[in-house]
Amino acid sequence: MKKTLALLLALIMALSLAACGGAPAASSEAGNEPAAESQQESKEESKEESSAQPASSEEAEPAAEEGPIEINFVAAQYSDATEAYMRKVVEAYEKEHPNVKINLEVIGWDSISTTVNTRVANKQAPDLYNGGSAGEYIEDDFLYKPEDILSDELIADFYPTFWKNNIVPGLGEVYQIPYVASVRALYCNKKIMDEVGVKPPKTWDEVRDVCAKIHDFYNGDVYAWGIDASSTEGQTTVAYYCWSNGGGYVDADGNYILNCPANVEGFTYMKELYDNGWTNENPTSETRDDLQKLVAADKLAMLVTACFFPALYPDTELYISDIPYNDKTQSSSSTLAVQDALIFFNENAKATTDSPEKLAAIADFCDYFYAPENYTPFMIQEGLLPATISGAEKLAQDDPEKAAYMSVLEGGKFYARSKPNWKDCSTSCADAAQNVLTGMQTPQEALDEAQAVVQE
Amino acid sequence: MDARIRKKPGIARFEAYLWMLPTLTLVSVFVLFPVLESVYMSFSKVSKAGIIKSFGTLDNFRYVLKQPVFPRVIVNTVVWTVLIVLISIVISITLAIVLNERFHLRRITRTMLLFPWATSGFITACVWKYALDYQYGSVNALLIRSGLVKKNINFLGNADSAFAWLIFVGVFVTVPFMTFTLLSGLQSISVDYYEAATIDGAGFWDKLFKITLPLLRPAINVTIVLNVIYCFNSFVFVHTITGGTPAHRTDTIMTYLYWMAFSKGNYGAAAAISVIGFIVLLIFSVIYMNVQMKEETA
Repeated sequence: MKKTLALLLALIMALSLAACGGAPAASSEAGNEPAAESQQESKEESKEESSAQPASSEEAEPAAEEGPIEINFVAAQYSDATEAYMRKVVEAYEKEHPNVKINLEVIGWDSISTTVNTRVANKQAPDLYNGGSAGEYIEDDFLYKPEDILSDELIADFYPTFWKNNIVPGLGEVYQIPYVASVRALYCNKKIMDEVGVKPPKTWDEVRDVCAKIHDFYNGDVYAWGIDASSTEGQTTVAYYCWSNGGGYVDADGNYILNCPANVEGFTYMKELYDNGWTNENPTSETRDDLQKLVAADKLAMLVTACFFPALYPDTELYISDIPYNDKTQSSSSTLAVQDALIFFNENAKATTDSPEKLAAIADFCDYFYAPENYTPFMIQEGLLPATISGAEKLAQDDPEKAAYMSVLEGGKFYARSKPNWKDCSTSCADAAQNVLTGMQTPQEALDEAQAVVQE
Repeated sequence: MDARIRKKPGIARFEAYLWMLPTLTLVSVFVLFPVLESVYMSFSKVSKAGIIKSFGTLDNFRYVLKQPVFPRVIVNTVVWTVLIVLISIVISITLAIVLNERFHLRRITRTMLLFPWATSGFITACVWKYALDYQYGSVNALLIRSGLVKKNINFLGNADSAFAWLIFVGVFVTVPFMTFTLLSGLQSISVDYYEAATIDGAGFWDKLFKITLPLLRPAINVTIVLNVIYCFNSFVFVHTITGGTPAHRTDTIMTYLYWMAFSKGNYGAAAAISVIGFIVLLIFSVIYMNVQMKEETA
């Protein structure tokens, strides 16, 4: 009997493993604490006020019968200052529009997707969400098309490059709008480069030459080149080493080409840099943040990273240059442009219907948020770039140095994030880079495997 | 005995069930329901947002079994579990025997041994992650300052060494609980046996193999089963220290499951992995308990 009981006990405990699979557990909601008094200017072009009719939303926490229209907004945290700034904007908007209440929730990147997906699964999706991509929700028909709810003026204000990048292949529709943008460039530690007497390299051959000189000068004590093939940024290896060789994630028709010869050559070049001892020791686990710290600590000379890097380490003097390219196959460099998106959940992902007044309020709030006087200071604070033409014009006035990035951004290439299985591609690229760098697979084998995954 | 005599009147008959109700409720809500939900999800078509679209498919299992890295993940999980439990049991038996002896500062030593177990797993994992860091790790700093090495060692640089360190950390946190379980088993062994053996001329090894270990066997069995389940389900150490890198070479079932759900967004496949893990544990539990029952009845 005792043995049977012991067996049963063991089985019950084993069951707990199975309980770990499935949908993510709900995260606790952050409270909407009152923020400091708004310092934002009100929008000049006042839109037509939306009706004061309250939305009969069950998701509204207050039980007031004639309460304001509630808009739930889940936003990603870009820095410690993100929430404070967003609250100022929201409070200023609410002051001007007493019939609207924005339930703002700012969540860190590590848990925002889990939190929102849990709510979506429970039909409690937010109205606005910045932190995921439309590709995850299109098949469930959970999203509004921005063109159906936003103002024509706002739609027209987005850079055409961004808008085009958001068109879903095969559907020809747009389900997300750009929220923030950034570009990647080669950042070189000025002190190291000057000591060695080298300039930022433009081509692959120049990279080899500069790396060898830095390595020899410091006898290997300073890394010449930084590679981030960690699980969070591993997909960038295709952008950094394959675009610059004519390869990439997809071809002109949007078909995956992960194992094309140009990509194989790009990965071979990356492995060569690593095998020569010119790079950081642990590229499969050292993240962008780790490497940026090494540049700031004068231990790493060159790193391809995002344009907000200089703002994080203002005391570090840097040379900024284009991502080096293979001049034997390409005539110029390719820049990785990254945009985070804002999506709008429709009634299929919520327990209640959205009244026309609520949709009008969402559109009006978006007009307010993207107004240059609100949007551009937010971008400057976060070290990011605006995705609107009006925002870029204001950036040119307020921060001319950063505005120079805008021309780069316009010509930049984007991730294929609008493809529904982008996550498969992203994780497969990271896996491939890790397999190559650790010598477990050749570039051809690793990229063949990645291609097989995205084609499943 | 007449059954009527044992029968309790009225509500008292349900007393036992009432006492069990809180536990049954908790188990139902936090274990049984998620288990059933996971099993249901594993046999369903699930969208990228985690919505179950239709039931009755084996696609999730086919997908998981087709992943080139999955056999490695299973092997990792088995190696991780077996090595941690085996190494820990040897160390723990030794420590339990030592701590069962009378010596100066025994109480403080016993208390100190509890620290790694009492500390949060996440904090322990973070401490070891930074201790083993290639650039700034304290282990490297210690080795260099003591003159044992001249250059930093890349402890987590490749899959094999990283996995070996993960097992080390696993042993570090497993030994305290195991030791105390075995110590309580040792304390229940009557000193009469040892006194009689001493009179008969038995030495230390005779007493160890003919008295201590046989009488400690029930405690060892419980410890092994509990720790196999605990290690198999362990998540935080691998996730925090290596995150499964490089390319899942240090992943166990639990971290791979997490990656599948939250990095890849494939909730159906993640549920299938959890069911496969459950089956592996079920097989172990049945085999182990059967072997034990046979040995005890032999």
